[in-house]
Amino acid sequence: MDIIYFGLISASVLLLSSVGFALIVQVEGFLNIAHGQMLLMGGYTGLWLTNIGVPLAPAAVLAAVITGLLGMAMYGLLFRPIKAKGALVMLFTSVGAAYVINGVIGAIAGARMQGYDLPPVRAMLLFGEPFMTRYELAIVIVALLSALGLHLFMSGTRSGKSIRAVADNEALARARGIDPRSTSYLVWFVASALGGLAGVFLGVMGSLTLAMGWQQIILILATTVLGGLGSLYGVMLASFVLAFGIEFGLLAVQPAYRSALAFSIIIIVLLIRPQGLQSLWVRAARTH
Amino acid sequence: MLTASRRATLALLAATALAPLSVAAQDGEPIKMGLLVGFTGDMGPWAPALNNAAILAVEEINEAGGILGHPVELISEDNTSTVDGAMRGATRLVNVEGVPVIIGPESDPIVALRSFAVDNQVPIISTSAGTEALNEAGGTGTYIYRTNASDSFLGVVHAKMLLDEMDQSEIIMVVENLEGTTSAANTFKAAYERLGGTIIDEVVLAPGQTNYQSEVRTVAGYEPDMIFLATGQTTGVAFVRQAYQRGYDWDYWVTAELQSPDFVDAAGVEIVAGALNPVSSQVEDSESWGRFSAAYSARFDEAPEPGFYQAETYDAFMVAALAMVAGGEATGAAVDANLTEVATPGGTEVISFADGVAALEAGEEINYEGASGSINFNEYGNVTIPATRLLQISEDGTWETIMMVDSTEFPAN
Repeated sequence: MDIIYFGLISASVLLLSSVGFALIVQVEGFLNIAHGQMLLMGGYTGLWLTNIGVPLAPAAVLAAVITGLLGMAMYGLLFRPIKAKGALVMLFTSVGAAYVINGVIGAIAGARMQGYDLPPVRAMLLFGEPFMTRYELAIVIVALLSALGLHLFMSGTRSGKSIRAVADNEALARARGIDPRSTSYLVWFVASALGGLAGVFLGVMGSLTLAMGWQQIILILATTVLGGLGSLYGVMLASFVLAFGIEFGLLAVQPAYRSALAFSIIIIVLLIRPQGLQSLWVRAARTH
Repeated sequence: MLTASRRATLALLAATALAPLSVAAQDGEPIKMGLLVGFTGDMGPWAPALNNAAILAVEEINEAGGILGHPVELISEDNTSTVDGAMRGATRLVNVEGVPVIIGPESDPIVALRSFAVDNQVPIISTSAGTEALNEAGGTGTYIYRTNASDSFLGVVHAKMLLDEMDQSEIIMVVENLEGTTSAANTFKAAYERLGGTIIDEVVLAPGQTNYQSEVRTVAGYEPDMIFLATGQTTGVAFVRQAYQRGYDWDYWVTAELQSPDFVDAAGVEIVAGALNPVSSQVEDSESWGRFSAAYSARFDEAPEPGFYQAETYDAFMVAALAMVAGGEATGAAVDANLTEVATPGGTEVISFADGVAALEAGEEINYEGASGSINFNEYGNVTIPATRLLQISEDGTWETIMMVDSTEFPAN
């Protein structure tokens, strides 16, 4: 039973970190390396807010909103002007942006490890056995809700439909009266805010260091590739496949090989399904 | 293999031959001394303390009239706690600033700088590098030294303290898969098993994960009462928190990486209170430690903390300065040739720069007794540390000394 809980927690962290990244891949068609720093931004903003006395829950929401606004600003100032130059230029720009954000946060917050000042908690009991802490339960619920919310938003609302329309064919979408610019701003806000929220959770569960963004972007990239580049549902499934694959794999393999296990799963899946998990339900790979 | 005395003679000859080529400071010009440590990166929590120790040392040297009539200037350089940064920083210190000696680099940096030191004739003295790679690498003629104890000696210290002081004859190790932590864990394991202890299991943690619940469960399966925890700070915090969350209240015996206030703050005092860490130090009530501690406290409004390498750094500056005085010139070659000499048993014992200079001017041999220990370099530029201080995280979250043990009789490795 423990393994299910551990897998669920790991999957939720991965899901929340990666889903915003995948959204930007889908709509903007490039790998936004700065997304890892959005997690860092969220984590440190949340830390700062709780340190000045804001309770954790509103601080987390506020940190997500602030990170979302930063994402919008980044799009408006950096990525929109160079969009015509292609995905590669945007990719490199995002690497530069990642270093700038990392440097600024480092200059303000300092290089030393920090942690949220929260009273230590024990896992809640379920049928007499330790289950999850309330923070872990919160991240599982939030991750599942955000996945569900994103699904409903993309399939059921006009904004969601316009996002998908712009992602599929921007010229056609524009001809049909959709403003790709406001759509993009919305995407960047949602994607960055989710990343910021993931950062707060990571900080609450462990600690905060400046290296966090760089470490997470590797995992995010791996999850996104496993899911199939640009597929939201692929990434959601990939988070669960990876997390549960690792937890079950650890029954047979030494825990020191966690990362090796993760990448073995990815390699095996890609050997069988080169387009990632999304190819289970999408027949032909989409081209941007 | 050259004998120690022949090596010393050769080094002296080399120093004499090269002396006219060396750039010695002109009259009144300051002599620059370099501090090269990781102000950013892994060493970040410790670096400001090292810098303070360097400032204190340089100020004391200047108050005593400087080196050979020249004032001393401290040049502090960040090596970003990496090999790359160390190469960049060392090159800048030597080529731009013209320092005759570099003090401070940690394990990976100083190992990478070995040929740089001898090629440029600039001695590099580490004050925190525990790596076993330096166990037989330094000494007169190699331009490589360290004023802190080797990991191999610390491994013995950990093992002896656990066996003799804590009566802990079996233990579970939890080790993060990193260079520094693995080295510390291996030296401990070898010493502990040789001295009669039993390692129940060694659980290895992959770096950079958010979830260590499976590892916690493995450890819990042994129902341990004490865990030897050798991890970096972020992984350490994640592990102890997750163990607590699952309902386990284990006692932790930690390595140097975790001995910082940051670890306590980030993990939570309730969780880590009681955790233990032995650090090497000068014997309690020794005159040299007392003098240094008082001067440091007066200068910076905070006491020097054991395990933060402040005394080791201060001592490195002192012996390097005394070596220049003994050699009669402010060059790297003079430091290398005289560093071991000015802190060798048999000479007049001195604990300050001023006393050392006075004794040297009187034509005496001197033996500098450091704030951190005796600083008696062996033929490989290594020192042993006379005492061990057992630190424990108190209920209010500070690291407190709960025991001092004489470690002069501990086997060297």
